[in-house]
Amino acid sequence: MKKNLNFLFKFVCLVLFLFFVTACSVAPWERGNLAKKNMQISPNPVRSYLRSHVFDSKEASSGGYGAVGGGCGCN
Amino acid sequence: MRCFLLLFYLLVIHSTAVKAMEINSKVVSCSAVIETEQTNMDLQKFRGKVVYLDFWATWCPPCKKSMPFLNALRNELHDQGFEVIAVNVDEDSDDARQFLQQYPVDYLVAMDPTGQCPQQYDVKAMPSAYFIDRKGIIRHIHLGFRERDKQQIRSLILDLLAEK
Amino acid sequence: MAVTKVKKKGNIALLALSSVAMGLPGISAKAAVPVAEPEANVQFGYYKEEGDRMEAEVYHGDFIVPINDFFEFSFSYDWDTYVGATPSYSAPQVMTDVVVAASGEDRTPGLIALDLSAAPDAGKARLEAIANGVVGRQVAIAGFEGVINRDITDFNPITLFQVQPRENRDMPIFGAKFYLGDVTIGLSSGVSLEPDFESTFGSINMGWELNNKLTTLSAGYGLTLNDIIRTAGSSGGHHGGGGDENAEDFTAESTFHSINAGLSQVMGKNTLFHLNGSYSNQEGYLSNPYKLVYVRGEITADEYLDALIDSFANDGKVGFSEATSLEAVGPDLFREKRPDERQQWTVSAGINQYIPSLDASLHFDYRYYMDSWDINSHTFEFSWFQNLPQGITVTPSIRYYSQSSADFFAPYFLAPRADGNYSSDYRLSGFGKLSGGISISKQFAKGVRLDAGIEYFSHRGSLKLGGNGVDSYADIDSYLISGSLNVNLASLGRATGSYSQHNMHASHGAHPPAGVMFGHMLGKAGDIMIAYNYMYSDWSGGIQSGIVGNVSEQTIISKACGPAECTFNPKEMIMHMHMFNFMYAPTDWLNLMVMPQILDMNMEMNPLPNSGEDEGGEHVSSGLGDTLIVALVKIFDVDTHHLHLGVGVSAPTGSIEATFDDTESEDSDLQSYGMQVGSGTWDLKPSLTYNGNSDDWFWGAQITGTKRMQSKNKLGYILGDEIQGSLWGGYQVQDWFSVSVRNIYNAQGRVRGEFNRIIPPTNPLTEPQPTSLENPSNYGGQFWDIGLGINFTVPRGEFAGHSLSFEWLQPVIHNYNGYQLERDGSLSIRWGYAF
Repeated sequence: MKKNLNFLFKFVCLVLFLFFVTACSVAPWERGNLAKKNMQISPNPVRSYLRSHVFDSKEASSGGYGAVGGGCGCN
Repeated sequence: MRCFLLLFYLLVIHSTAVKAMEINSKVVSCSAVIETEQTNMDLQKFRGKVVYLDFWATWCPPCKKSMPFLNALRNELHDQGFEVIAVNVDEDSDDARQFLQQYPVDYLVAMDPTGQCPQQYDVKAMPSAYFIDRKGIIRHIHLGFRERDKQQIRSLILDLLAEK
Repeated sequence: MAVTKVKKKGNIALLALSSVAMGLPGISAKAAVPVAEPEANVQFGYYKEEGDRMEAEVYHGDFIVPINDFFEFSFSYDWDTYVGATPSYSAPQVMTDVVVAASGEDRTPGLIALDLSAAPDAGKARLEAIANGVVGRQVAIAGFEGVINRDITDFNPITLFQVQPRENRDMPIFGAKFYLGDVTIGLSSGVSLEPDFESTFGSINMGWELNNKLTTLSAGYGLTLNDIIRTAGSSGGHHGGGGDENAEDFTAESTFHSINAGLSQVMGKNTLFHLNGSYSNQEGYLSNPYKLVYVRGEITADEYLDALIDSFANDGKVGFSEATSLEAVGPDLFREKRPDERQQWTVSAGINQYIPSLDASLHFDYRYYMDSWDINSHTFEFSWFQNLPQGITVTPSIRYYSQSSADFFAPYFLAPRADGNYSSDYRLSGFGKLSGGISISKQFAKGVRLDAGIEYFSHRGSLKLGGNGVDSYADIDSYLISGSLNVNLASLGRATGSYSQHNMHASHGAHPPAGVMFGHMLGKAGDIMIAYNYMYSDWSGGIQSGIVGNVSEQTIISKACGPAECTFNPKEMIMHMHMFNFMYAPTDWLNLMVMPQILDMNMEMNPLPNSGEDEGGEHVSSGLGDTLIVALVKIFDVDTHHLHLGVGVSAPTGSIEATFDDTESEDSDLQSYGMQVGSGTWDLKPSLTYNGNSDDWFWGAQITGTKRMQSKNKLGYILGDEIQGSLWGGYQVQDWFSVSVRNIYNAQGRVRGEFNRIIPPTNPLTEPQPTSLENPSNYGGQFWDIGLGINFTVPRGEFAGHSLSFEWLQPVIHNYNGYQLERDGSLSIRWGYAF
């Protein structure tokens, strides 16, 4: 268990580090591609919900897909 | 712990803003094509009119939401010297043409697929609107579009129109 | 792999239970993304495991409405139905006869079922002798051990199943979102209701956009409160002798808290990265009350003997509370017990990449999960969203999942565990699962999107990462099919509303009455209509035959059931039919239409004097019916005259296996032909419709038919062919209101063939008796009805395009085949929205 937690911590740090280093600026008018439906984190939430309902009933794991963001960044 | 300090540092660096487009500066020209008139957009030509210079895209819901309102406002105040020029920044201008065919507007639309105009105007948000008075000076910048903004936009335009 | 089935009638209830609990939305705290425009979704999902295992239908509907710029409201409703067999426990081959003997119908605990049950009196005398020290105790114990501690040579587990009757779950959820500049706050709350599991949940989530909206941080908290209710088996409660501890009612509770935090980052104009972590704490009763475990040695032969001896002082009731803290349900068979606390952690990361040259997006997601039950898992998912011309997106995807087993899991246990926790639920075993799927989505110009997808899952012990999975006995394949409709209500409004003055909305002519199917074509290419038809029908006017009217009970008894005597006859039948219609005009002369339907029927029976019963009972059946797919072709269309031809096919998506005990098991008795929600055959449905209108008057005529294209369905029968002619006229009183009169002639043939699965009743108390409904000749006939209709349409304004119609059909003359319940009439209601 302790080993697992340690692994988790390192993984999170690595990932955070990587994207802050590589993230570059995207102008507000350049977000047309990011605004596309298929670039959303969950392009079809109704279907995703059905699938996670099936997975959660047949597998021991659950949770973990809650991030939001992306999209057109419009005001 | 060091990991988090680094993160914090990067977060601050990455969120610092770039310089803003000045209010009270003169309009600058940029290359965008008004297809209905087959001309380049030349803002100097609108000297003597109050211009609402709007930056929009078909992928931007609040931009689309503002269009019926802008169209109505333009038609109401056109006689008093008001014009709306909407610079479309879709990378593929065909998206805009298709959209306009379905939902036509009476005001001027200019196509700028290269993003040169918004860069020059340092557009901060989508949509962004620049209020230009009869002397060709940017008097106000409005970011975004919400229901409650309608009243404010209208009264700002009326104020500018009242100036001779 | 040998599989033995233990079939239990009665209230065995929900196995999907632990399952459902984990899938509740309150738990995965989803944060808020602005929707900005009102939208609505409906979805149908069908999940099936190979063989006669679990089968589930999932219906979903939701809408999201922004009230103003700062506040958005949403509501969703899920209705699921489950049926099928699920593993109950496993045991070594050599022990199955012992375990099954004592865990069958009455599940009498203890060893009574073994050597003592054969001759209870002798057994009792022997036990008394042992208790009084007359007979050697050691001999008795050795005898017991010979039975419960048999040598095991084949360690392969044998899985025993329980059959679950059809059960439903209802889940309404309310949600609200507040947009406060860069911050979004979302709240949601709902309940999930099953007969034996009730759950109440709520969550709060916050999203914060920063860094020029390139970064979004989110955090959320969710709370779920569960009540688990296991009710005693009510119908199968006649067991001889010893008391049944297992049938006691049982209630328990559990509480889940969960928190999550997420971050998404725009990495470039084509790249989005996201990261999420969650922690959840579950406390209370976390076991599955219907899952059992085989544990050897938890109760020793010595303790079994003492318990049996003690049972004399206790009115024959055998108790093991001194020997074990587990709940015993048979020899060495117990209810599973999981720890009453569970901590779960997850970290997930994903990247979305847009590829401009291909107009495609790819998503890659990874999740790591671990919990305090020593389970950890890895999930990899990869999807490729390929945009194609005409608004079509094709998305192939692949998913791989691998988990390690819980520390208290084993197929069966040959020695007690120190911590007292046991489970043989294969969901807690070590396994891997590979699945592949494809979905297709079509975006129509007016803000309507159709999605359909299929995904196939392969669950294997051997697919676990790094090996060491559970043996192949738990391997299973399954698939999931889904279809959904998404409507952006704002785009519809835009289509009919005004962007500029040049926009005009075309008006649609008068609609035919509500009960007329395929009666109306869309005006021009690109038009879309969604409609909902509801039909209520009632039969209760006594038994009729031919055109003569009511027949006597004596005639029913002697004639209505063929060679056998009828003992019951139908008293009232009620049918609710819900039809969902999606219609699209790819060109102005062709309309395509898909119409799934849901049926809900209820039949009340009357005892006849020869049955010796006072009450007749009631049966219900419900579910997805057959699905119509129709093409309408315009033949001519001049000012006042319109003629179109329809070519339709009815696909046998409805079940024809509704049984009296609701189990869909092959040895259960089928309900009658008329109570089946499907036809079981592919049917051809041609139609020809004429519509005319002049000034405020409109009229029409239609002829439709149903031709069964197979000579037999899988159960050995087909419903009769049908033909219907209809003639109507109406008057447009106002531009928003019209009335109509219709006259309908309908002829339907009798049922041909008969059930090839009839099981003669053996127990008159619990099994169905012959009724007129089981006789195929008592179906069909000729019917003449008059229909009175009213119709409302919204010609202009914000709700333009909506119509609402009602029609009552009153039977006038009939000629029934055989003996049937009299028709009372039916009500049709249709809501349609064309845009």
